[in-house]
Amino acid sequence: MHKQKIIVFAAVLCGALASHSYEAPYRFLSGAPGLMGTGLRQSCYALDVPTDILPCNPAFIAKEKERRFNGNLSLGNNVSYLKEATELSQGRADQKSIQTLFQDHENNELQTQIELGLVQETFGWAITPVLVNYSTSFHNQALPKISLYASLEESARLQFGSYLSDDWSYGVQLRYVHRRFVASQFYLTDALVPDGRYLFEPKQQYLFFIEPGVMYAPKDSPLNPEFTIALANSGFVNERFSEIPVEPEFHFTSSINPEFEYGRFSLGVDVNFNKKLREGPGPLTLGGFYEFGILRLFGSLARDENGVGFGIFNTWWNMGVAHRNETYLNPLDESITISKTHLFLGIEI
Amino acid sequence: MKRIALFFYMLTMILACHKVANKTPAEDHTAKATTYIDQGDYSSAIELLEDTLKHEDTYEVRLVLASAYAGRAGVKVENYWDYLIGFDAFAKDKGPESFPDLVPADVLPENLEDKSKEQLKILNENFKDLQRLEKKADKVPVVAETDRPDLVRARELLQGTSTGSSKLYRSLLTVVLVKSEIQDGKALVTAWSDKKFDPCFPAVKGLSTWLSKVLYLVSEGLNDLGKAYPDDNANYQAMRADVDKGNVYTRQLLSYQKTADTLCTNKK
Repeated sequence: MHKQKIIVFAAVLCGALASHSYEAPYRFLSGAPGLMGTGLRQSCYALDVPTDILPCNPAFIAKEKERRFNGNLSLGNNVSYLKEATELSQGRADQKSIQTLFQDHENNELQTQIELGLVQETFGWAITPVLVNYSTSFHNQALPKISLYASLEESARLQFGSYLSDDWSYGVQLRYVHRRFVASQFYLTDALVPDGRYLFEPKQQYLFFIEPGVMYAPKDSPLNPEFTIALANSGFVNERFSEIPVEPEFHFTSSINPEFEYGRFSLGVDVNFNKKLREGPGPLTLGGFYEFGILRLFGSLARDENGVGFGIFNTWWNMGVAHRNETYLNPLDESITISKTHLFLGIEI
Repeated sequence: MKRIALFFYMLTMILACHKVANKTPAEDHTAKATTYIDQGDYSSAIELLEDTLKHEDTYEVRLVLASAYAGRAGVKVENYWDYLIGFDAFAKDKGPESFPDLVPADVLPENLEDKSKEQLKILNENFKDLQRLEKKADKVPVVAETDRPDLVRARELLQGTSTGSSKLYRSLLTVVLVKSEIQDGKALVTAWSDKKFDPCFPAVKGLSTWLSKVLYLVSEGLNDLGKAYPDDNANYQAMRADVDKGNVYTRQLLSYQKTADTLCTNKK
């Protein structure tokens, strides 16, 4: 009898684990947005390079010596959808805006943000009043099945750190995010009947993260190696949604930063341990960048994802192109590679 | 010791099911079938899901299978995206355009009884409604007669579903079918017209049968739309009642046709 109960319990648990729903694209939930974030993906945790205003990995903040104030407007691809994507996230979408979003019925992506912040010695802050993420994918031309993710985020980040000794330093990032989003997967006809109104009802989420990082950088080494351990996405969420899982990530990184006569070069590797090890790009990401004057070249390589790009960072404007390849297995176990080129334009205030 | 063994057994079971049980077989098969459809291989999708339907009859299996049949028949919703938004193909929106009568008044025998004249008038009205519907459905394709069984099967699969979404899809497929059938009927009407609407023309019986079939499809389409848009259901049902009434007269004409057939045989 006791055994039977246990087996029934296990079966129920199996059923619960088996249940699944649509999940927003992983790239919007992990890593950094913007030009550098798109090109470097998870390897940005291994490299001491500002992805937008602050470094990805708070362990690097202790190294900051210069004071700078930046404002950044980053416009990605498909910026013409910005109005509709924003309306959708705020629950103000009507049939016309939905029609505009779906008129091309192609797989589309949009990421646009405004960020401003200050970095000074061992300390930095950044606020993002607007980050719009939007992604659609279409399957089955006979009866289109649409996957839709649209989110509008406001966030604030505070990083501070210090040296523990000559070789050891630490950094902590406090991050607050307010996210309004629509995430659903539906057939076109679902969206056209009154029952389908709920598909575009936005949800809200408040998140507060405490993300610490520690760095070991032995001095007097010709390659200037840096090793870090960082914990990302660790904190509190007011409400969890299966469509946008928020899972802690443990980043173990190492990098070399050889001194060049001309420019600055860094090559690093990030090992990201999280619950989704078997999915997505895999735990290991190799990345690097070379910076000379206003030009920055960068690239990354992971199991199912790689990116390459360049950026020109002038005094008051910047622009860049990032090309990303993503490989996945379709339900017929065929390997599919999607390539996308993103153009970014930024203004520094 | 037994408890520890049982604990590990349980853990293994849970982990094992976590690995493999991400999707049920029906979900897995609908995902595979959707990929086949993406690749334009409708027949493989149909084969896979017809088999799945025998073991697991779910809403999504029916929906994807119906879409595979419709896709194979050439009906791809992707191409009439705009048409579906604000879909009202069956609504009686009587615009200024005029359509010819099925049986023009000038060819009617003068001594025809009033009841028959009234019924022919209704027949003419029904035919005009169908032409109006055909005009509204100019964006949807005409499906060849050889491909229509696929469309019929798709509608049959959707009949067993109950969501507004599937009913809307079914009504769209009905419009395609009606439009295709109207094309056939037009050929019959032209042939009859060439014979100066001779009541002894052999295709007249086929014409009545055709009209009855098309009106039945329109009635079903209206019923599906009523289910898709419950707020407008009363309107759709009222329209449906009109169509059904027209269909009753059409069937009556069929019964008169038997008498006409006898007269024509005697005439010969």
